[in-house]
Amino acid sequence: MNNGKTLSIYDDRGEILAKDISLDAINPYKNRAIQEILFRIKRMGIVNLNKLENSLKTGEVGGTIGVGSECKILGRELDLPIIERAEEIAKEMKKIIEVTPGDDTQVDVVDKLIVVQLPSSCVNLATDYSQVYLLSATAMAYAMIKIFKLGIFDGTDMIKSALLGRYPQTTSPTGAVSALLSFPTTLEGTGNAYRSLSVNDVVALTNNRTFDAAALGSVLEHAAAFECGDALGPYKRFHLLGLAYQGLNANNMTYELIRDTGKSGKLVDIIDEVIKRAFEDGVINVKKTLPSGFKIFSANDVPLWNAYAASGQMAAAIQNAGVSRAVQGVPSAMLFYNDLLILRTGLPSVDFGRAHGASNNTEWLTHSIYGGGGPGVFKGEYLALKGSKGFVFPCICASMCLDAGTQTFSPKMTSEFLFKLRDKMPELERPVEKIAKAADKLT
Amino acid sequence: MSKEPSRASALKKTIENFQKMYNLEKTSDLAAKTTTFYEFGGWRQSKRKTEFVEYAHQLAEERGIPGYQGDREDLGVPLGQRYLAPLKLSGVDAYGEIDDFHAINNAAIQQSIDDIKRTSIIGLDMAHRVLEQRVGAVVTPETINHYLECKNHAIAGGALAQEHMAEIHPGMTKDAYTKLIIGNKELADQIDQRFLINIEDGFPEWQAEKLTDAIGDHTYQVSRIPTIAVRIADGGIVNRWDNTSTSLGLVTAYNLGGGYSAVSDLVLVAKHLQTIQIGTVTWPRRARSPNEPGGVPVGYIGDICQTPMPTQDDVLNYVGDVGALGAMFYELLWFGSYMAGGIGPVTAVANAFIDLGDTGGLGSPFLTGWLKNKYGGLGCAKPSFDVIREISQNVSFMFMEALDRFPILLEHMWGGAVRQAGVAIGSAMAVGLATGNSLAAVIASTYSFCHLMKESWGRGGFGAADAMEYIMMGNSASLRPEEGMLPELRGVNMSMLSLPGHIDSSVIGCAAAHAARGDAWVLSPVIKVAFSDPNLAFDFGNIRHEVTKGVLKEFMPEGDRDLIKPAR
Repeated sequence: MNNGKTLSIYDDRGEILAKDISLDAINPYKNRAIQEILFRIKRMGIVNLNKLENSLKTGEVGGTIGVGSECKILGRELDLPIIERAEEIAKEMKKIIEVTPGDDTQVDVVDKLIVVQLPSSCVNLATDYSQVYLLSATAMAYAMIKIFKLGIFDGTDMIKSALLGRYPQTTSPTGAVSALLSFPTTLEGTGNAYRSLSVNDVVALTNNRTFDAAALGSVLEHAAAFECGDALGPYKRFHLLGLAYQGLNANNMTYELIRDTGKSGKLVDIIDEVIKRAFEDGVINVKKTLPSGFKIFSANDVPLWNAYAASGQMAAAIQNAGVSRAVQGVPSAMLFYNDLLILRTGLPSVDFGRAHGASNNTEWLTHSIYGGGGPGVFKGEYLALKGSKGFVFPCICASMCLDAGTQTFSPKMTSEFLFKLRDKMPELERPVEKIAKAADKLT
Repeated sequence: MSKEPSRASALKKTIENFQKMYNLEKTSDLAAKTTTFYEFGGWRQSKRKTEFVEYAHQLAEERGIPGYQGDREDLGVPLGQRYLAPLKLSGVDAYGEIDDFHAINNAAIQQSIDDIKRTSIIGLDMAHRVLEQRVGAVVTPETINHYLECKNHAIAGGALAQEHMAEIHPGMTKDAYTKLIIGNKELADQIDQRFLINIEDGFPEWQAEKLTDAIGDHTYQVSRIPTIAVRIADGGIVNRWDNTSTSLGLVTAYNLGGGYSAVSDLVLVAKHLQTIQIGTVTWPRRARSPNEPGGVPVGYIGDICQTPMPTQDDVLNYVGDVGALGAMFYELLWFGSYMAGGIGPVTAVANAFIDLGDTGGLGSPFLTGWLKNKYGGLGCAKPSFDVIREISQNVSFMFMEALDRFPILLEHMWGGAVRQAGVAIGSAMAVGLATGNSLAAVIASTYSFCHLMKESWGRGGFGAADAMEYIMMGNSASLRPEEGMLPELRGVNMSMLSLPGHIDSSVIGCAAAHAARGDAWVLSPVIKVAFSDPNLAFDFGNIRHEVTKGVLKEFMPEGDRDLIKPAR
């Protein structure tokens, strides 16, 4: 019998990492490894030096177009050796940002990026994380002015606009400064910031490792659920179980579902396995047997049933992308997994139908004239995925790791710089193992 | 030495203008103990208000509910003994009453805003790349022409690719169309000329060359969705209307399936990654979607204006038209309607139309002559606070001197807004012209208020207008995130510019700076070319003349509903 109070975490080889930990040990408010991942993401600002130097050189600042610039300000071009003097600029920025000398402020040059990690004292005091953009941009501007000895009429206003674009004439920065989290004003709904990384971002941050991407995607989604107030009351256990079974391969279920059904490669085999395990573990029972012999099930433990179903959905997504080495079909795989699951059991599909609908939306908007794009550019807070908090995004992240380069907008194309940032984010090296160890300590 | 007028003659002309415009001739007999000066007749002095009263009486009878009652002393406009000064359009030999410049009363002003709002621009380079690399299609001039046929069918409300779609009566969308801007002359020559905004046709040779170079090998699609669309929805509809017809046009022209994975990539690049937003979204308190006036940066006004950009000798006509368009766009529409609800402050902000004379207003041969002589030409002065001080002092003092001749004049001017705007606009324009630097120009605008303060002119006008001048002193060149930024990119969504009275000087300062430099555009070559299109309903090359047509009820707008309503 599985009562859902304790669980074991396994890695992507099916090896156990933490045995019989308590469910609450993976609570984002308690698990140290999850907190460190989220804190790292929240405090990081990035200045794209290539973009900054080029836009100043050509006068092309303040555009709204995603690629290129429709704006070009003649007579205000600035030819500054920013990349050449990046180390000097970074050193000066650190001095400007530090609250006390030697605190945990980090400003590093990574390739042609300056990566700013704000000190804990700033992050802890702030009401939101817009400061990763604003402090990074302002410190960069002051550092440049000092190093290049610029006066008011020497283009300081150009520097500001090259860094922040049209902000504050518009509501979010669009210049050379960015961050892992989208600017707060661009989010669809409050408390959704951890859902603002794209699928490709997660894939890049986890270096194309399927189970790590599932874990990070899941951590981000469920952390947002806690921040939004969604993971309170009856939903707290619901989300923690979802994180465990879908994101962290609890009880090795996802791994075994993929392993055991891989040869047949059919969604219905995964569904049968999920039902079998749930029945054997006492999570569901047969409510009624129809004259035809068809069984209708009832859940003994609804959140745990959802976690089992969510694990099955992850397996379905990974299996689909794995056999085709292409991510495009994954939304359909999730959609039909849920379709078949409800027809097969009479039980609710993943996330009480929310994942079902979000998969449907995602399938449409990855193939439609009305919007969207390839699955890699989707974010959790995008309207297609927004309907299910925690249960669809991680599956697409994991699947995208298995794509053999079929997408126009691949992780390499949209998020290349994040691959480079991994060196500055030690928390993302084997994150499942780190979360498991931290949970073990709490148990 | 230049032959431009002297300061004395410029001052004399300014004073004469004031006398004429504000009906000050009767003030000359200072010995008289009695005067009829104040006997203007209240609302009856206005032909327009008299017309309103008569119409409203008839209307009240028809509908059984009283509405406008301008003839009642307890309800009517509280004019008292004040004179209703007519507004003279700077550079145009025409006057109108204040009411003629209310956007609701002027079809030309409405259309100018509609034409800006309903413009959508999309870069097609990435879409073509996706078609070739992802779909395997070959993009040629022929396929582009075929696409443009499809697109122009769809943007007018025709169905493509999808079955059983409701279509729109073409008469309702007769002003909708799509054209291309192409920098590559060889390609441009092969495109159906009906669908091309020809850069060479729209600009003088020197300007066309610079614009063509700036567009380079890029291809942009400029669409005008129908005026009726921005009258039933906000600016947010514009990109979406254009984007959907673009997607359908591409799917049809290149024989793609509707539910095809590559379509989503195509749509992503066409609808999102290469969509240009003329106006961006605004902050929650004045939240609007893209393509609304509040999100449009001031530099675009100088680009939308198609009055020939100047040579050194003809700078004022261009700057004057930019000022008029900026005043219509931001002051009349954004502040007057969107923000103030359409009632009231038109008079206060219409100052940018008014011929304030040769000193502080929108035309100043004396001033340009003085700048050329002092600095060796327009755009030749190195920007500095000394230059800003000297020029703004010259402009402000001359304007103030003229106003001081007529203490009674301020009774006619609406609050202090007109006088403050006079010195601010004049200073920004002059410093922009002298330095070719937009930042120096906007600082001069703010700095000019120092002279008003120093001379104890008191508050700067309606609605705490001078509050911004105090704030912008510290703000203009600031690097703090919510404060200064490149002036060309600023707009009325910036908190400190979100009240009327200040924005005109930013618009004019930027345009003057780039005009002085001999630039072919202010902020964007793409926007500059997009509005050179002769098929637009409003002629952006003759702004003040078009507005005058509106005053005279001679302007024919688009967006009518005649086809779907009973005849009156």
